[in-house]
Amino acid sequence: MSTPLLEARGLRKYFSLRRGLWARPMVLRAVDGVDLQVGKDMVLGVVGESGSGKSTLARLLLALLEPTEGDVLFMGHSVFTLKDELMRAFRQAVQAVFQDPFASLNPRKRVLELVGEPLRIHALVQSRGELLERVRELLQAVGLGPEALWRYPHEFSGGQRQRLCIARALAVEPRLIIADEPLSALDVSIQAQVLSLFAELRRQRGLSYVFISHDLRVVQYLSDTVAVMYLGRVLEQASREEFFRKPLHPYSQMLLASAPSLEPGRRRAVPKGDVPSPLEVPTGCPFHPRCPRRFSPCDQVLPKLQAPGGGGRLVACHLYNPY
Amino acid sequence: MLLELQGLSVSFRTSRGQVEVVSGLSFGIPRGSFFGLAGESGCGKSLTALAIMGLLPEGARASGRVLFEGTDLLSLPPAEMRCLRGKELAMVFQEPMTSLNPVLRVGYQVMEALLAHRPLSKAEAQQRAVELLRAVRLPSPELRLREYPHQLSGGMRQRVMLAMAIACGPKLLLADEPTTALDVTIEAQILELIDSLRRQRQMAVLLISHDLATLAEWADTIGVMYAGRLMELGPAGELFSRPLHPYTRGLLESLPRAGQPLRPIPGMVPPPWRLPEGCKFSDRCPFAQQACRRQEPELQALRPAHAARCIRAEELFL
Repeated sequence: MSTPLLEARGLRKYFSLRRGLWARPMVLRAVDGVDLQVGKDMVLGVVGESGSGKSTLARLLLALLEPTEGDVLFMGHSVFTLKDELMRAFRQAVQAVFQDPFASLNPRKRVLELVGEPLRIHALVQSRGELLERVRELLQAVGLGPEALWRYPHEFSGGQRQRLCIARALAVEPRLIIADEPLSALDVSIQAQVLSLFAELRRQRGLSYVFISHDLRVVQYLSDTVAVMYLGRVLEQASREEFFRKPLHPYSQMLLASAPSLEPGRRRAVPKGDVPSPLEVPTGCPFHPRCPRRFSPCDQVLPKLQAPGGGGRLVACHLYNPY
Repeated sequence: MLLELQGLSVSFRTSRGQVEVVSGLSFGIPRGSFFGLAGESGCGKSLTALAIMGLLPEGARASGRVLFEGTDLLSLPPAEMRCLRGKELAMVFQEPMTSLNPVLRVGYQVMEALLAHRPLSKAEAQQRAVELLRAVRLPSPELRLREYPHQLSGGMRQRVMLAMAIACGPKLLLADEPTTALDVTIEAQILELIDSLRRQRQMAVLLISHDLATLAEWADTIGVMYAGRLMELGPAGELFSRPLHPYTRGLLESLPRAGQPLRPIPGMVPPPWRLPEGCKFSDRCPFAQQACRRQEPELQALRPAHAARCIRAEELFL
């Protein structure tokens, strides 16, 4: 296989938390050993509940946080030691869209400045006329009219602001967009609009996404590959078809079963147990206290993410892999 | 009917004049039933709940009638409303962290809810609080009583809120997006809990949600709101599988499904002072005709117990 666009190798991020002045600091293992690859023209959907480490993973992949251990490679080079040219190339190739479109836009800047800023920073336009033209094109690409140019963020609704964030990410013609829950602040009908925009932009521009969401329906709609995270680890990774046809990990099965059913008259299953705190990760398999299928090794031995039977899909569970 | 809304309207005085955000809402909730109210932000669903509870913000004015066991809550003096609130009608909100007092122990807050409406000794109140926390299936309730809200997970906090809400055995529980801040696996637990409390205690539930799929699972009847109006009202299963209003249909088609193209509703909800003439959904409706823009349609029954506010519903979807 050729070098992937972006790759995480043994990625770990621990935070040290002090609860009270004299208390011993506690270690929060937000991301605890993640390996991932994002290829060209590929959408990797990352699902997980709160505390699963998916947002920390996004920040690590964007080189906004330094890992405790492991590395993120951009076309084979570590993103944490990139210098000048390569760093600029990385920042241009990999862009971000975050959850809260209200917090991601400077309220004192007009749309022209907001969307045009990356174009100026990366010196992609030579004149003001060119800048205007490019920003107009970008606004059109995300479904906003040219009248938006002179407005401030507060004049837009949540969905429109998220479109502005996407326009800004697109400005430098990136190859990969890392989107962290980009729909969850939006209304249902607006979510559908923004989701189709993501799908359409991908078709038109051959973009790759790392699409982080708690919503399985969204991930199913957009992703080629699905990775399920739980307490900082990837528990399962498979192609969308395989995953939704037959999820292997008991946690994936629980997630799928507890999503609201779209068939009338059917109720979802009610899973047991609470989402544990990442401060108190259980020993062995992190999921074992909630797992309906746990057996003897589960509370002792941490299962590795492996391919049972040597197939392409990966699962970290003793049910499938010898321990 | 336990609760019956008759032409409930809520309006605000603003710099643009009097703006109506809930307009002529009428529906009924029978004793012990599960009613789901659906709609997107700004459709007036939360204000409807607040109007029923007599908790509208400053500057809001409610008109019409809110009949609770035959008494009009809107014309009740504040002191009498205060006696009903918490005892006969109770409410839980979206974000349990902001609804709990962060500097008071969980036990104190649950006991406060109990003592507000009846005199109990401290020991009795404590014992009742433990029973309540057990009823909402909070693990080790005796220990939890002595903890502070920040020591609980989001799901546990919502259980505490539910314990406080059912403390005095209300006949109606209003739940405004109670699971929006929670994870999917916890969401299912809380909804199942609300439904089992409803059945055990013969308590009617008004569940407000933006998620039609969730409402269809739990509610008997669903009302869909748009721009302050009830656009469709019908039995949950039928409304979900055979909707009559283009807006309901649009909401359902906005849910991503495997192997099906997404068909989002175009445009966005207009602000309440810029609603279109005639049908309020006509500017976004793919089926709108001249007649739709001329006069606002009535909510009319098209199937047994199933009504829609659309002049074309019959020809389009029946």
